[in-house]
Parts: sequence; C-alpha cells; structure tokens
Amino acid sequence: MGGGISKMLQKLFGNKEMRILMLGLDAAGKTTILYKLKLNQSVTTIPTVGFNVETVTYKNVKFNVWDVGGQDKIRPLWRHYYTGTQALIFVVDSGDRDRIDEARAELHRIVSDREMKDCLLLVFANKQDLPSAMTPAEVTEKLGLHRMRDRQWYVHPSCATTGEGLFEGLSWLSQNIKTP
Amino acid sequence: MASSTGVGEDDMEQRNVEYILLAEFDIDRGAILKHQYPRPTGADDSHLAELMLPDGAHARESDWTMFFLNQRAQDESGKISEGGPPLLYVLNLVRTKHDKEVRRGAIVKAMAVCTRHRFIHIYQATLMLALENYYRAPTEDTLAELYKSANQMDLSCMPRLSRHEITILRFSDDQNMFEERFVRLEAERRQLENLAHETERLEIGQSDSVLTDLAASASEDSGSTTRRGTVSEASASRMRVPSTRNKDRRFFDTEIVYSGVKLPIRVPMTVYPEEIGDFSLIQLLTTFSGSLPAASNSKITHPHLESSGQYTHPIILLMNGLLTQKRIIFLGHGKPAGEVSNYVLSAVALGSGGGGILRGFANRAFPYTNLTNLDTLLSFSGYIAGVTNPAFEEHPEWWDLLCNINTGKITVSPALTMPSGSSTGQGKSQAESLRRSLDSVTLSRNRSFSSRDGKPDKWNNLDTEFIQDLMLAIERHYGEVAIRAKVENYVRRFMSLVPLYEYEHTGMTKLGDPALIAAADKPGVDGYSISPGDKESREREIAFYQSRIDGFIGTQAYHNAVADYQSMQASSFIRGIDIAHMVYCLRNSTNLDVNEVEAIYRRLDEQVVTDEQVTELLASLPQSQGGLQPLAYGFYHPSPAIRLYTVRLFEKIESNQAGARYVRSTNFFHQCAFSNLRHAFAC
Repeated sequence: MGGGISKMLQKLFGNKEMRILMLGLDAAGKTTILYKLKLNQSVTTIPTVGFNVETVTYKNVKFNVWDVGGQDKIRPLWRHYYTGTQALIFVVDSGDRDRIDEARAELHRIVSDREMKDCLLLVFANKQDLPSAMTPAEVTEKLGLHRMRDRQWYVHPSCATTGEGLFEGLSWLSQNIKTP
Repeated sequence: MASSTGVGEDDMEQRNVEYILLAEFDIDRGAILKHQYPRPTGADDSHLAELMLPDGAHARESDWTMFFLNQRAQDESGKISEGGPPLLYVLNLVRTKHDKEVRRGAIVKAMAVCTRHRFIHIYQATLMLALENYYRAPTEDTLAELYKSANQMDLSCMPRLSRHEITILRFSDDQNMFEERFVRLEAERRQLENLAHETERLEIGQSDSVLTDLAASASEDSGSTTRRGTVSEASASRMRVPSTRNKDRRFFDTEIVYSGVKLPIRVPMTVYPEEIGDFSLIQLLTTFSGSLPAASNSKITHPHLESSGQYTHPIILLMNGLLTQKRIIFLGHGKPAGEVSNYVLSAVALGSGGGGILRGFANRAFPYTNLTNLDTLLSFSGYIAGVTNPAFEEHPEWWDLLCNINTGKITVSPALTMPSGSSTGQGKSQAESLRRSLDSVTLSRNRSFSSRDGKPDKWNNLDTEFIQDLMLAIERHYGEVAIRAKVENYVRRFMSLVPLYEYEHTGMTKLGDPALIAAADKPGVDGYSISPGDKESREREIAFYQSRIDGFIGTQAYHNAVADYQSMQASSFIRGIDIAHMVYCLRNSTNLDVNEVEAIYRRLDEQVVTDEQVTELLASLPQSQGGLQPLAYGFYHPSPAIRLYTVRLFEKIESNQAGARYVRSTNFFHQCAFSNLRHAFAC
C-alpha cells in the first residue's frame, strides 16, 4: 500500500522512509521514548490504551514509529502490526530483573514471525538512570541475542526521560536501513 | 445468555436498560471488565472490555463508543437464524483522569448502558453522571443505582405508534398529528394516579368527603378526555404534568431521576428500524462526496461496486458496497471513537434507505471496533465497521471498501475478487456494453455532455440525478429528515426493480406479486409499484442496476426484505391494490385516460374503508410530499364519478384523527371544493 508513492517521493527528495514498530513489556518506556523523539521533551506518559503512532524525522530519514501497548493481554495483537515493518525497537526496562525472562520470551516470539524475518532489531536497554540497572551487555546476554545469527541487531543503553542514547539508536537504524 | 432466555418477551419489553457494564484499564493487565450488572451479558468479558476502552483513550479526556451485542453472522445459506436474544445497543463512555497520586499517573474507566432502545443517545447525560459517581464510589452499587434509575424512566404514557403512523408523523409539518393518543394515555394515567392517591388517603382514615371528591374527579376526567385542550388546562393546575399544548409530539418527554438529579429526556417518536442513535447522515455525505476516486488505470473495475466504471461517484460506490453486502471500514485515525461511530451508523441508514426500507445493516454494524474484535469481524461476510487504527489500512485483505474519514477517500481493496458468475470476460463485457448503450441513450437526451473519448461521462448516469439532488439539498441546509427521505426514496425505487429483474430472469420472485408484475406494462390500476410506467425506461433502469441487483440478491437485507414482504402481505390492511403504485400514477403520470383514473379512484374508494386502511393510505401520502394533493385533483375531474369517489374518500379520511389534520392542511381551494361537492352530492 502506498509503496509506489513513497518510492516516488524518495526519488524526488532523496528521503528515506522507515516503518518502525516499537514493542516491549508494559511500563518499559515505549511511549516516553516516542514522544521524546518526536517532541524532544520529556512528557509524563500514562499507560497506552491501544497504540500511538508518530512520524519522527531524523537525518533525512522519516521514521514512522508505532508504539503499541504492552500489557500481556494485548500482546497477541502485536502481530497485526508486523506487515511492512522494517525495524523493531524492543524496549527493555533495565531495572526490572524480575521480568527480563518474560521480555526475552516475547522478543523471540516476535522475531520468529515470518513477516518479521528481514527486519532490523534495535534494543533499548532503557532506564539506565536507575541505580540497579542492568548493563547493555547484561541485557544482551539475558535476551539471548547472541543466538540470533541471521539478524542484524544492536543494543544501546538509553534513558528515555533525558533522551540519552535515543538518537544514537536511530542513527544505527538509518545507517543500516536496506534501500529497496 | 442462558439467564436471559428464561425471561419472557413481554417482561423484557418493560425494561429500558438490560445491563450496565464497567471496564477499566488495569496498568498491569490491560483492559478488564470490572462489573456487569445485574448479570453477565453472555458476551466474552475481555472482548467487551476492549470495546469499551477504545484505542487512544489515554490521549483524550473522554470519548463515546458504541457497539452492539447479540449480532449473528449469516450461515451457509446466507440466512440468519431466527430467535435468540434480541440485538442490544451499547452506549459507552470512557474517561481518562490524570492523577499524580496513582501509579503511572492516570485512571481510565468506562461505563456502558446496554439497551434495546435504538434512541440510545437519551442515556448520555445519565451515563456521564454515573461514571463520575463511579470514580468516587467504585462499587457495583453505583451501577445498580444507574440501572434502577434508568429502568424507572416512565414510558408508559408514550403512545406505541404503528409503522404507518411513524411514517405519517415523520413527514408531517403538524407536530400534533397524534395528539389524541398522548392525551388519552395521560388522562388514563392521571385517573390511575388519582385513584391510588385517594385510596391512600382513605386508608389513613378521611373517608366520606374523599369518596365524593373521587367520584367527581373521575367523571370530570372521563368527560374531558373527549375534548382536546380542556384536559391539559384542567390538569395543569392540579397535577405535575405540564401543559400539553404546543408540545412537539414528535418527541415524548419524560425524565430520569438519577442520584437526586432530574434529567429531562426526549424520546424521538419517529425512529425507523435501522436508525440508531443520534447520527448525521449529512456529515457522512459531505465527507465522502468531495473527492472523486483516484483513477487507477490498471485496475479492472468491480461490477458490484463501481457501477459507472472508474468515475463512479464515491457515495454511489459506498451505496453499492452497502447493498451488495461488502466489508466496509470507516477509518478515522486520531479521531474520537464517537465520531467514527457516527459514520458507521450513518452508513447503516444510507444502505437501509434512511433506516426504513431494508433491514439487516445494524446486525452487521460495528460502530466502533478494534483489532481485538478482528476475528468476529471477519466471520461476517459483510460488515460495516468503524476503527481508529490505521493498521487496518495496511491489511486490504480484511476489507473490500475502506472509507478514510480524514482524507474523504474511498478505496476499493486491491484484494477484492470478482463476483462469481458475471465476473470477468463475457459477463463483464456484457455489462459493459449495456452500460455503454445506456450512456448513449442518456447522452442523446442531454447534448451538453460529450463522451467522445469513449469513456463514460462521470456525470452521466441514472445515479447522477440522485447525487446532485442530495448535494443541492445539503447545500441549501435541508435537515436530516429531508436528506434521509431522499435516500429512502432512492432505495425504495431500487427495491421496486429487484422483483422485476427476478421475475424477468427466473420467472418468479418473492418480493412482489407476480400477477401485478406481469401486468407491469399497464399504466393504470394494475400496474406495478413505483417504477416508471413505460417498458423502455424500466428496462434501461434495470440494465443499469443489473450488477447491483445481482450483488444484492442473497444478502441478509435481501432475505429480510423477502420476509418483510410476506409479513406485510399478511398484516396489511389494504388488500388487492398497490397503493404505492396508484399514488405514483396520480402524482406522476400525465397520460392516464379517464377510465384508468376512474379505476384508480374507484378501487381506492372500495378498498380504503376502515380507520386502519385510511392510516395506511395516509402513510403513502407523506405531507412533506404534498399530502393529499394528488388525490385532491379528483375534485376537479370532469367525470362526475371520479368527483364522487374523491368526496367519499375524503370523507373517510376526515373521520380519521390524523386524516382530519391532513384535510385541514390541504389548500383552501381543495377544502372549498370538498365542502361544495359534499354539499352537492348530499342533495
């Protein structure tokens, strides 16, 4: 849908467009990241009912970011957002050691879907400001990312409220986006 | 669900509200259904909760959603199983309250009313108060109080109007058309109240004087019911019932007393079967009439939908989709769910002919829905659904038509397959050639249009007049009722073609009387329905709508129409003549000869005798279309017989309460003619 138009636009303006799906357990900081990227300010967010979708332009790349609510009952709906997704941003609450296994299970379930087989994976090890936060290396290990051999992935530490690490993550995405 | 089957139909009739629901967004678990009062609805809990907490609820202070319960998908044969619990309409209010004190900063709660009342919007104010109360007192008692208050709303003095009476009132300028019915019920009520009141006093012990009072007031009441006006004056001083004069009787005024607050309620009296809630068809029409569909050169046009090729007007595209039971999505990304619902309810009214001609659209309407309901949605062979999630746009395999509220564009799904049978190749080219020949016919009539490039001109088909008429009416600020009436006439006309087409192709039809259809070429008494009299134009019209009719046959609305036709045949008061056709002839035909006209008046005079029959006749003569005007011409006919029939008919009409108002509202000359002729014939 609209593929022809976006390709034409790319030719005209040299802009890249990228569809991004942002998932993660509830209260991981997805919506805060979205609005920090969009507005460059820290907004107080409340739990997302359904989804948010915003367009963020960074370094000539137009990121279409879908932020979908993370409560376990609504996770089965995530699959409806897979079609056409070029990159997955998986957000992890680095302070939540109790649920890191749950996060790993969800992540593996998402990337094993056929529609997600080609997409990039960016993991934000979020909430680095918490004193007990897991390091990116720890998160990498606990999520079992080393076992993902056929996929380009990248883990970056972040703090959504200050914005630290977010644009570095986007840079990685814009550099690795496959031009169709 | 099992519990509700035990309750008798009559018992259900008494209840205004069936269930009250409460859902909230649990920050750990997502949407959950907290309470169902007085008992579970039988629907899946998490489903209900998801529908009550629409996408994006966190981003706005409050939102309204609507959805229905007990909808049934079609079975293999295309029919809907009869029986089972009735369709319930659910009005839901969701509210997000920011609160720094609570974890994650906000509380999202939603409360819903489930009712059989199609005028579901009357509960809005009460629901707002109740949800507010629930934030303060989050217990089931709050739901119980709302349930009790809503069910105490008194509708016992609301006259139950028949379908014909609804039509009469709906299109009348006289808002007091059925005044007597209200007055009678109110008087009965007062008498009952007085009796109860007096009995109470008797029990206390003040006996003798009261008894005489009672007798006096009872006789006064019974005496005054026959005289319009006096009752209201007498009562105004005595009872809390306000004066009934100058009241708009197209509504019934009552109230809901909820937690000490009296909320005035206006129940509309003229609601058609497929009109639900307080929607704006005008909004739907203006949103989607702006842009012509993007010319997609490569694509083959779908015969059911794009009846005029790629230049099909978007509203006609939508109408075709509705009538041929396609899967239709209204997408309003970033819009309140309440607004999206409005479009779906309007589409229901559009397809059903202003809500009054066809049935079955509400059963497959999902005014607000979301991804959680996807499986249910896809189990319906055709649906009309409102969503706010743009993910639907990316899945054309889920829908046939997508109406984007933000852009005003209607998209035909590229995944839509051609209908079997008349699909590609032969059938297609046949339809194409028919259409082309049609175009040339219309073209020759209207020289200002050219189609030299071979393309069908976009303003050049039988639907054009309808669309132009609608748009002009909207431009001139016509009201909802007038716009819906135009849609009603359009769908009625389409429905008059279906049996002709069926009869022509299969030799039989369940939507009309074959004997009348066979005689369709006769313009007079025996003619059929409201299609134009001459064979050529009728065939042209049928040819034009052929693919739409093909697509319509077998839909839920089609099966309902068959059932309705049968039951109408059984319950109709006027037998053996086609009133709609006769009225059509009198109104439109210029070439009737004297014998035909005489036959029409004679048959009307013979068949229309009883009060019910007069009411039925009046219903096909809406005041907004001139009322008795077409009949009144009979007063001036050279034939004395016709004049006599006309007078006799008018006398019968005048003895009907609504009919008397009809007669009074005809112009002065008709009234003079009536009284003069009556005099002449009496002598």
